[in-house]
Amino acid sequence: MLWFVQDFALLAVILRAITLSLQTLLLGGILFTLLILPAGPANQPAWLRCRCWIGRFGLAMTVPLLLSTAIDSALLMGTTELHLRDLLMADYVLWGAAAILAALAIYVIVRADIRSDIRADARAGTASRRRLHWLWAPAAVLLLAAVSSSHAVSRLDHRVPLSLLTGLHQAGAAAWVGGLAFLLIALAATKDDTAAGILLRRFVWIAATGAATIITTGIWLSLYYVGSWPALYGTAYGVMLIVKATLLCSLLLLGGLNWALARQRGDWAHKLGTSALLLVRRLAEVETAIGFTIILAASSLTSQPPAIDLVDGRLTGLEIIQRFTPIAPRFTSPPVGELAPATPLDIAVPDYDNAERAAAHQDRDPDIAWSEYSHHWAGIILLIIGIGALLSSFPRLRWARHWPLGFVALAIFAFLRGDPENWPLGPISFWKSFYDPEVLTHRIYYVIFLFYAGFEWGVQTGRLTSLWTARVFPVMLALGGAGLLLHNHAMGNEKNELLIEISHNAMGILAVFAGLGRWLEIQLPESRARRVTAHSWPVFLILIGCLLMNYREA
Amino acid sequence: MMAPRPSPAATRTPVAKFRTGLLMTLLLLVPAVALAHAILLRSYPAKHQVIDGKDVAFDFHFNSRIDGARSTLTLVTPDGKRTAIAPTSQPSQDSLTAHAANLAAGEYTVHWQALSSDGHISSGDVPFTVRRKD
Repeated sequence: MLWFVQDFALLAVILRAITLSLQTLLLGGILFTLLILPAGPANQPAWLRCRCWIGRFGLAMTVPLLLSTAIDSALLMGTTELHLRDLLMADYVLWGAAAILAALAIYVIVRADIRSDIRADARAGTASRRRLHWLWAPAAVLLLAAVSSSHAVSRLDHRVPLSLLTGLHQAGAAAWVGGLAFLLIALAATKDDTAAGILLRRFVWIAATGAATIITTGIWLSLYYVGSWPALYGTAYGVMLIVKATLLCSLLLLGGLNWALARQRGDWAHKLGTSALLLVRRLAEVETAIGFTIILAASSLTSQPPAIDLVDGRLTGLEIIQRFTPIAPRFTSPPVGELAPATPLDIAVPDYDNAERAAAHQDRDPDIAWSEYSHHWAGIILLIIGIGALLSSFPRLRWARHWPLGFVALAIFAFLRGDPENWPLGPISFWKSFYDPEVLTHRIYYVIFLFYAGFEWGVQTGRLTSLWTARVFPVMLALGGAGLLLHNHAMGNEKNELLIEISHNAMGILAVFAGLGRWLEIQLPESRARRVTAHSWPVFLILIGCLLMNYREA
Repeated sequence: MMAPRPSPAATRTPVAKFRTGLLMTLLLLVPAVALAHAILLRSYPAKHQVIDGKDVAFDFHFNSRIDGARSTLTLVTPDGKRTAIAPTSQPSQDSLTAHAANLAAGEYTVHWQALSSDGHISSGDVPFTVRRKD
């Protein structure tokens, strides 16, 4: 049952991230389409496309909402003697049902509007705009439902102001991040350069308002939920908040750059034609990706108890400094025979609940030495890959373009060291090792990993020339980094777990930046901006390598 | 403060952490996340407390509002038998209380599971000992 519960808990967080992302898109889309997108024939294609996407996102949102309500109910029924009828009036079921109905209502309103347009005459645009104002009602219900599943409603005091701040925070995120996604959708449908320029100038104001709202409400919420500096750096909640703030700073930097470009667009368009608009669009793509990474971090944050409640066992500044003070990498590994034997499932499951036994098990020196050695060598390989990528960005050093092959070395290394109880290091034969679902999953990952490293090698060496093949590597890199932010959060204050989490979070942020940097490089036309990007993103890979080389577990 | 149940990560060996960590570095992830809001702030009995007498009035206090009707306390007896102990009342929105009578001497565990008002579920264990003097 515990494994069952654990898997469902993980699924619930992923569903939460999907729900929050779709909610941001939906609310942002409604705001953008009804408040930003000007009426008129030049914007008619953009209007039609935005409207369609609002409908699609509305329908899509019902799925994670339905699943998360069902999973929570299954969890409760599976672990208690409660029946389905006992849960029907639970708050999470009522708000979940309200959100599902609201998302469905959005879909129905949009579909009805599209059907009316087909029947109507040329004045359909104005009539449609008027009809779509009905969308505000379900949008408000969605926001209320989202607030009802936040920390705010479960607090013992200040519930109303906290709920208000949370609602404003999420609305600000929708205006900026969701609005950005719809700006890209609208720009893709707008052929007229002047109309695109007007759209950009109108959007920067709502984006700026959204950003200001996020920052102001975010500071107030942090003051309440964190309350002190030691809680900020010493708890899992605080650490995730730092991740969110770091990503937000990068988003503000890009947003500021886009703001400046959008305000000057008239001049730029005159001097540079469509290239300035292209740069704005590419930066907006990266902004959107960082925005959704922040939402991922936010959904991870909602699964943590607020830092202010975790008073005991916080990390101290000294402990963090000690752990991250650089040391020489380990170049010797204990023999595989000294490692703790793999725990059979029938023992591991009851052991799951036993903190003392688990702690004793994980603090074995040979296991720590094995793991640190593995991380350090992985770091060295990644450092070499990063340096190779950096060198290959200089025209005279094109021989370094084979750097993606370094990932093959990394995959082989992970294959050998990751499952030491299996062939070739352990007693379990190659074929028998596939009986273990965890090992099977790892092997599938290695193959997929080799697959996209191969893609990048093909791109770098000119064997693959289409744009979509070039996009595989940066997308996977950024997704991997974003996923790293979701994993392994210490629920209490297990110090060692938290210290490991800090290094994983740093690597996650760097991987997101590296992936998005590479994305910008391949998306931009030949220009100074492209060259600067090409020289910059490998630095993030190098930094990940350095972090891994300094990785410690004790 | 009572320690919450260890996260799944806490039970993993360094080798397992390397597997997961490196795989994540390799960009395809096996996340394992503790999903929780409500944490136990204090309880009677406290963790590892020794109680004299056969009757115990359980009193659990959390950091957030709890849905008392859908939160549970389960008593694990010295012989491993699990018995749901019905919460008697919810004196405040952040607490659960229950009563168990006529307990034999031995080592017990209360397994709590709380549904917080925001819809998140969390759980944990409080081991304690009953010492009969009569």
